[in-house]
Amino acid sequence: MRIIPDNTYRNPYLMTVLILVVILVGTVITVAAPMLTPTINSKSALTPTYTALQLAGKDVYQKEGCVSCHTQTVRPLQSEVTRYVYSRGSTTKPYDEVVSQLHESQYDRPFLWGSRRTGPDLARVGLWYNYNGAEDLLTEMLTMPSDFFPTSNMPKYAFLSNKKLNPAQVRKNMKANRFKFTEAEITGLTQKTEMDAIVAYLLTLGRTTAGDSTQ
Amino acid sequence: MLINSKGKYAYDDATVLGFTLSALVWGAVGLVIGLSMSLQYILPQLNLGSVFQFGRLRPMHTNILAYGLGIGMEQAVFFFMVTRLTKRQLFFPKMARAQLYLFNIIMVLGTVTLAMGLTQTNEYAEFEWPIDILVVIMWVMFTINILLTIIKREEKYMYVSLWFIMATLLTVAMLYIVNNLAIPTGLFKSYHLFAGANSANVQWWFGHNAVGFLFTTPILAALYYFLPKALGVPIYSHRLSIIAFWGIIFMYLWTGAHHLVYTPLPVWIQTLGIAMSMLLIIPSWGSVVNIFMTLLGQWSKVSSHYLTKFFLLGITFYGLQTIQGPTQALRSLSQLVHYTDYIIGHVHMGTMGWVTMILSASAYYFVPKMYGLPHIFSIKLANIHFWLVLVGQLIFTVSLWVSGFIQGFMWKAMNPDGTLQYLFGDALVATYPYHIVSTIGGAIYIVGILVFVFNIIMTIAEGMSLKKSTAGAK
Repeated sequence: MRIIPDNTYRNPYLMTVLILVVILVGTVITVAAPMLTPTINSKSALTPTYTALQLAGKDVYQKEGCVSCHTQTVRPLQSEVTRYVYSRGSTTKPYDEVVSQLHESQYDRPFLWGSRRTGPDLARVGLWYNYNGAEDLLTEMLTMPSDFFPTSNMPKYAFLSNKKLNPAQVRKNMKANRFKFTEAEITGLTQKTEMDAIVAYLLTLGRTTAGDSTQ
Repeated sequence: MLINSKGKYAYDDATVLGFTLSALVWGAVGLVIGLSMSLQYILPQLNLGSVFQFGRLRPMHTNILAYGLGIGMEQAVFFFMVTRLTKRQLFFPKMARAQLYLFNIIMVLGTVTLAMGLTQTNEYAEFEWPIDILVVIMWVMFTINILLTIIKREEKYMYVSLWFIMATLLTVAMLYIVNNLAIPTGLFKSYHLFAGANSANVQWWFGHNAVGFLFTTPILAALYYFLPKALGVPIYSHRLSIIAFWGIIFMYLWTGAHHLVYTPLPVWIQTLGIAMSMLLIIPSWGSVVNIFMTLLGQWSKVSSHYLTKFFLLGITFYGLQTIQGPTQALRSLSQLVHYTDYIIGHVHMGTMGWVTMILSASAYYFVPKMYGLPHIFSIKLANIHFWLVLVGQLIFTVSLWVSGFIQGFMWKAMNPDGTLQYLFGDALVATYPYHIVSTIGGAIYIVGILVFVFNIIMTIAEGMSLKKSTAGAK
């Protein structure tokens, strides 16, 4: 009648094995198995790898904990596509193409989808500011957020403009991610600040959403 | 060595005490950081320099409290329970002492590096890879010590708390190692081995089971041990304990994807996660029913024994938590409350209402016990502690639930013509009054915890003077 006989509970070796088997079932089915499926691993040419400056910017985004307050996932909800896509940028793509796609984070280690929206979702920043000179506006926003929204509780990130990048470290990082880059790109970083980098990174978000339908 | 002059088992409790005191120090640090963040939410000018920034403080708050306070206390509680339940000394008492020093070294390194912005970014796995290696060494020491002590035990039976302890040790080892696999590019910089959706799936498998195996199974182990010990009543049903045990450790591992509802993660993984989250109510409530049935007919003890109310309220919040959690996983509720304050409220009911409630009750039981004192330094202060943390926690969590609902509805509100009713900023500003309230609740809770810390320190002082006087009498 009993599935597990009572004397099992007196045998620590057997209990160890049973515990390991039991915790591995869900692990294998929901985590390990999906890794072997093509869907979750498919790469798309729509989202290119990061340039050296953009990758450096993504590292700044992580270092400053932007992910503590900002998500990067436009959910398939009417209010969400209206708020983050159709009311903010120029696109004629249908609903199912403007919500967040698997390939958009294909080069992100780790993913930066986030879990909390104290500030707005950032997955479509590159769509909102898809024009020349947008860098200056984003720099101003990060320097003094309350100039744009007086009751914002976002901290000022003016100090990023005083921090130089470390090109040697960025080169190592590019190699570890297996992104293509040129030495000119790396030497170009000596003149750049963490502010330049994070702005360049932010503008990559949601670029693929701009324009007309791909179908 | 094991038997003292009175023919009773003697244990080396100094290590347990060391973990308890370390945990209390880290707990105080983590709570002060939490309070600072709560104030920064309403007063952004309190973000100072490049370090005292919300984005840097957030991982410090979660890691210091989960690992410093949570794991710190759990190491104390595990060593205490395992030696009692196996009726023997730890297999490697000196290794346990070394573990205490290593634990504190890890916490200092972790705190400093997170303040410097050196982070792996994945939630609760922020420590960079060199610290991860130290953590794994520490955990292996812990696991070997406990497992060998259980294997070489002097007691025939293995009580249910020991099963929960074994499951905790084994599962946390697996979770921590897998999710911290990374490609290092410097001493304090690395990239997750997994990319994109795989990274997300692995992280939330880890993240949700950190809740399961750091904030649930170890606390259940403590509850199943300290409640019957303190009140002198046996657990109601052994069979329910068995169902609760296997159910919890089986189902938890499937549910991580409920943190990723409506994301690009393949839908079938999300749906499976949601379904298993609902099923998880069964084993969770197995424990809830078991503890309530244990207390049934013992209600007079609520007034006669001061620890009863800690256990009663702790298990009640566990019960609420394990209903609220699964309902949040449902798509209909997730789309309203995900990413809002509601989730912050949910997490804090678990940590402030369940985890610390049971762990502090455990400390109230075992600290006097170690010195042979009849009870804690002051029962009156323990009662004050109870009411402060209860009221503080309720103010904190309820205000954030309300705030989260308001935020969620404002994000979704649309006019008939298909335009949005509110700007994102409108919904943010709407949450500010509730954050003033939750900050006050958090401050009340912290005062309660400080009363607890004071009570424990005074008990230790009392115990040490008792030890001195008895040693002098000889």
